[in-house]
Amino acid sequence: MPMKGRFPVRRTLQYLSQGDVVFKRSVKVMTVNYNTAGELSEGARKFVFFNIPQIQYKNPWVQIMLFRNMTPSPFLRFYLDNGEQVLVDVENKTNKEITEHVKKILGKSKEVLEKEERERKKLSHPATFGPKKYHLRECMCEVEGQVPCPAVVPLPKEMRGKYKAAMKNEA
Amino acid sequence: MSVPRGAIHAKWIVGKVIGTKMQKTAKVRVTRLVLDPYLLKFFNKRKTYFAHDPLQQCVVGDIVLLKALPERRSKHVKHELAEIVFKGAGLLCPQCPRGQLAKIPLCEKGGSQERCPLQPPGQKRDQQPVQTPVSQCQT
Repeated sequence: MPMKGRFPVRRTLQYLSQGDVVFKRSVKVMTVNYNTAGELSEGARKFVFFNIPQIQYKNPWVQIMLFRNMTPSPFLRFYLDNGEQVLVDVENKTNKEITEHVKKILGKSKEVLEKEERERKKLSHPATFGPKKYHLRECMCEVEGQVPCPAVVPLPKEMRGKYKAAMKNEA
Repeated sequence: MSVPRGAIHAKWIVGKVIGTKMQKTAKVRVTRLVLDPYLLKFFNKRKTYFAHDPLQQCVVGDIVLLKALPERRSKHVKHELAEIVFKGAGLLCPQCPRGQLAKIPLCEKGGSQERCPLQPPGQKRDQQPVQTPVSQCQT
């Protein structure tokens, strides 16, 4: 049931997270004008079909709009925060070339992305416990080799507070 | 009594004009691609914004670029019209059956499948249309 349609691999989280175009903060809107017929727009059509989901997944706050059959030649247009517009002509280009070009002109570089990743890792300490959103593990019982969670595996009699209290009273 | 509201989140947005019946205000529909969590497919989610259009130059069907105002103009109007990107994008052909867009004439050179751009009336083919300064990137 889930893997239906043309190229259902596009609808997997692994494919979506493989996208490597992360736009700079100044990019706010991206519009793609392309045609549904014609060899000149073939690359643009493939770009929309294969790469746009990856780009949108990595840039959830960038508005992406698609316009079909409005102009004779395909192009991309980016609207930046300072009012500047960037026009990218994609006629006669393959989808890989378009992605590479967009990454080169408006994407964050590898060094910047690695730096951001290091900053994010610094904020979270791997040795602490707490909610899954902020920590790696919630409880010591999740660590291999430690006492398992009593909700899953009952504790041995000697470790229960009830037994320990009874032994104390006897003594 | 005015309630203090948060800062406007969408600074620049592109949308289609769906109504101009208000004075100096255009109703704009903005679509964003939102991922469905089960199907893992992107669908268009629409939201309506009201934009201030002092010259009332928008027509229903225009594709427009809106800019967030520094302070909201009224309860619902938080954006202003920055630029009309495509004028008359939803032109309906009077002769074709209902719902069909006006057909753009085929290019005469080379018999290619690409079509010639629509020329505004009174403008020659060689004349460049007036546009806002745009930086063009080519490989």
